[in-house]
Amino acid sequence: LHYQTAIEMRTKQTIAIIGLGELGKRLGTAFAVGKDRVLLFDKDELEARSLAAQLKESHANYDIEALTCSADACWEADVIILTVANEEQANVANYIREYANQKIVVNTSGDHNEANDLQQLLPHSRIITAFHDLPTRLAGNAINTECNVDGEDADAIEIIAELARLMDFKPVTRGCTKQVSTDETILVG
Amino acid sequence: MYDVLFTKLAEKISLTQEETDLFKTFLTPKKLRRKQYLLQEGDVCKYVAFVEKGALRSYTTDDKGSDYILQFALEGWWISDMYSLLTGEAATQNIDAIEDSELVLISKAAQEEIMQRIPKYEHYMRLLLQNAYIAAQRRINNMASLTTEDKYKKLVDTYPDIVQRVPQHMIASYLGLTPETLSRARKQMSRK
Repeated sequence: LHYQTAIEMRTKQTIAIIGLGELGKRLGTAFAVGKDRVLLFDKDELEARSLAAQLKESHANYDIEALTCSADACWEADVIILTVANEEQANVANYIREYANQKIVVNTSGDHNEANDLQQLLPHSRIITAFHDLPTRLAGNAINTECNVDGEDADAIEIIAELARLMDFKPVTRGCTKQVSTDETILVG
Repeated sequence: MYDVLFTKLAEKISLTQEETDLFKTFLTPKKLRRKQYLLQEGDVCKYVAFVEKGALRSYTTDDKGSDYILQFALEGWWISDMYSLLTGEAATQNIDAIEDSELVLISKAAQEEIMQRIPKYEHYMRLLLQNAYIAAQRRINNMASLTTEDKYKKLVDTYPDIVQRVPQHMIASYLGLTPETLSRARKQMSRK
């Protein structure tokens, strides 16, 4: 089962996953079916290296790499997904602020107050809230369920909605003047 | 991270510290590894890119899969598919990195906002586009009127860094020659 969308991009994006807890690992694994380049960072370097090696082995064409510096990963990335614990968020944000300027940063806490805090910490980044309940859904083999993608930047919402579709979720957007239509999603298999 | 950009800007316009700080808030720093794409044909171009470090090229590909290089961009140069950026239509060019590169990207919306809030930048862009137009005209004239040897000599004289850093087959493509023709021309020139 997969979806074909009307906005498929040809240029490969680079996605940095900062923090490899359960959600970070699941996202890293889920993106293997796409064509984007994925950079993994965790303060436990061995954890990041081992996940990258394991995914590369199971998906030979997966462009995935573990980096030892979160700032480097964010410098290279187009999309930054923060999956660090809430209490670590401020430290990480301070460290990556310069490199995350004008980039999409995904807040995965699911808490809109946290998203507002993150926006204050990264004032010139495009903050999107998404993916917070993914582990539960993916673990439950839930397919074709809705996935909230919230934020203020229409283009950023569209890009994250596309990542949600990649994982067979139906993006539902809020907090944006331009709604992402789910009608353009055509079930093909 | 933005040293080369602000040095280049300072050659044409003088920004206050306040304007520089404001300008930086609109910039997207981006690292690109060798052979990675900044833009692929068919996507809409959303950025102009300034090269802080490294080298990029833009090119088109014909039906037979042959590449035609339109532009190189080394440190201090700008590169984009301006047609796609300005019209919102799909890009006809590919842009990729010839070397590991550090770029500064400015989106179309950010460009507009910078020009509105820092009018000096509009003046800078006018000069930049003017020079780009002159360079494009010169390139068309050279392609139409110069001999193979003169085309290469002109490139060596005008952009010695490109000849030093870019592989010969790419130079040949940029000059509209086959690699073999370029190789023969270089041999003949070295004998003179």
